[in-house]
Amino acid sequence: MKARLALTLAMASLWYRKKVLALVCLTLTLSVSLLLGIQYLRTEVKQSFTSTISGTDLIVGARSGQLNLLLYTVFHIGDATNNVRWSTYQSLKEDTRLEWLIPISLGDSYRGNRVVATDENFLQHFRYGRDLPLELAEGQWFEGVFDVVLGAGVARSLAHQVGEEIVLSHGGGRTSFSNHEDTPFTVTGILAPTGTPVDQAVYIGLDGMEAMHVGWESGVAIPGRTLTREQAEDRNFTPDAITAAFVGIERQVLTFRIQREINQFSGEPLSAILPGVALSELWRLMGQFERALLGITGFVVITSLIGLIAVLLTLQAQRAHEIAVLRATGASPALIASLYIIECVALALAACVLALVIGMAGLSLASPWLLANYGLQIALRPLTATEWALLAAVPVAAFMVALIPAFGTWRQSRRLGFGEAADQ
Amino acid sequence: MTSSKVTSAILAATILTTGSTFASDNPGAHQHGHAELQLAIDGNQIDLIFTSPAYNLLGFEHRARTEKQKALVTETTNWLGETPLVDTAEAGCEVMNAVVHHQAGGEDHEHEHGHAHDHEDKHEDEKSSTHSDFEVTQTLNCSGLDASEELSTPLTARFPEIEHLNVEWVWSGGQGSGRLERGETSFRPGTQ
Repeated sequence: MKARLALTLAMASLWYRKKVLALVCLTLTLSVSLLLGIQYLRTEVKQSFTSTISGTDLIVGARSGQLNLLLYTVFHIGDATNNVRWSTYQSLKEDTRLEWLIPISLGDSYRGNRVVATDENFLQHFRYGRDLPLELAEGQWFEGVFDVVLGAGVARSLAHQVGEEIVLSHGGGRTSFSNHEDTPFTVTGILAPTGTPVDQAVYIGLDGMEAMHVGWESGVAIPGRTLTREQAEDRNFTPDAITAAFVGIERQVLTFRIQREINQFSGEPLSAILPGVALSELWRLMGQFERALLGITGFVVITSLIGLIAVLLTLQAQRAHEIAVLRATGASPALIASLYIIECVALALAACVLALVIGMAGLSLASPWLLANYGLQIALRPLTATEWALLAAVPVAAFMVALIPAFGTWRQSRRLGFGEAADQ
Repeated sequence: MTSSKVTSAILAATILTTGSTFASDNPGAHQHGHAELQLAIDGNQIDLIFTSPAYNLLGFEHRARTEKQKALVTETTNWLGETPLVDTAEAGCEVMNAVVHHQAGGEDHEHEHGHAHDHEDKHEDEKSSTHSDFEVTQTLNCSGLDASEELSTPLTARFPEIEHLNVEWVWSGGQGSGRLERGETSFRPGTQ
């Protein structure tokens, strides 16, 4: 009976002050959204980073450290020190335990973006994120010697369309004075955005890479020795070496054994790395960044709670008259206290639900746009236990805050001396 | 031939090849206080390789000379052969097959558990290097592996000389790694 009375009274009181409370609720909702947003972003950035490459069991390159190999093959940072012989790649291809291999040849650039020479296996087998395949937004994968496929970022920033001709540069760097002008490439396709370094590269065939370097033995084009496009079409180009290969293994259980065998390959010094292991090690190095975000989350929590307390206490201060009337009509201090508590918790709950709805709607609307424009892959996912705990902390905090005026009322009633009267 | 026997055969073949020396085969890194544990998880089965400098496990790297040292080598080798080096929280793992390799001497040079297979051990490393390593391969059968999120290892507690234990894992959902410092015993392969 008493509980029902308290509830009815609380609802009536909330409804009476709906305009002010709507504003309070908005403030709270914003704080909760910020809190959840930063926490969500923190885990998503990590997720996005660690799933830059997935489904690839091993990356094989010349002998080097695992971070170095990962950085130049996947992130396009730094350069290879050595290459892998074509014959070695062929012998790896004959290993039946390896399901697929993607050859990668690096070294040239297109206006600061890496040129990656590879084959159709790249489109078929390369995976990123939660096992997502590469897709072509426009056109098709390269077939001819002088066909090129652009990453989404390259196509967007340089405003290229399918069918355009582009000239690749010799070597790395943004401004290169030696361009492969005799052998322009035709854009045949543009990849859909992935939010990974795949977007910032252009893709050609291994034969294309060989063909444009004919006559470039001395590092610059020697007139008369380079090929025209027509001459190149008739020739067969087998590379001598590739930079690295991505490997998919049929039975993942064998990964460590195959890694060991490749590391002990007798033909030439090779390194096989597990990209997932290397990525998690790299993330550990960048743990500072995650800790900074965690720190920000902590500050946001504190600020939000202080804001909540301030707002609720201000509200209570305005209600002195209302409380006096209630007390005069015989409401017990317990009833008044429960009024405060119900109101605060109800406000907090409403703010939490609103924040969740706004957050989810905002994310599902913004994520395709973020991916297309900023290459940020932020997926909608169920909340983790930590996030639920953070969310649950808001009504709990509201409850604690409500205890302050509740206690104040009780003390005041004692002082005025009608505590006993009301209790009877 | 069951699949576990096939795996054992491959395992034996892998170990056999490790002895041979090629120009490209640089000596492996050897760092006291540091050890490595590699896990391949498939259903209820875990294949693991544990490598560590002998110093971390024994406190010396030369061939066992005194009786006390020989006893220590035997005890350590037996322990490594019989104890599952990773386990679920409910201790549901059982050693199906284990091979312990080392060059520290002692009586039981190679400890085998479960299926036995032939392989000779070459003592090349001993002559050329003053360092010696332990290498343990185990096949574990773990009940309730799918459900358990956390795995633990008795290694860091048993051998306090291991300051960092690098754990790398491969499972159907991907790969990852973690680093256990002294006193830490558990890790979560499900998360990165």
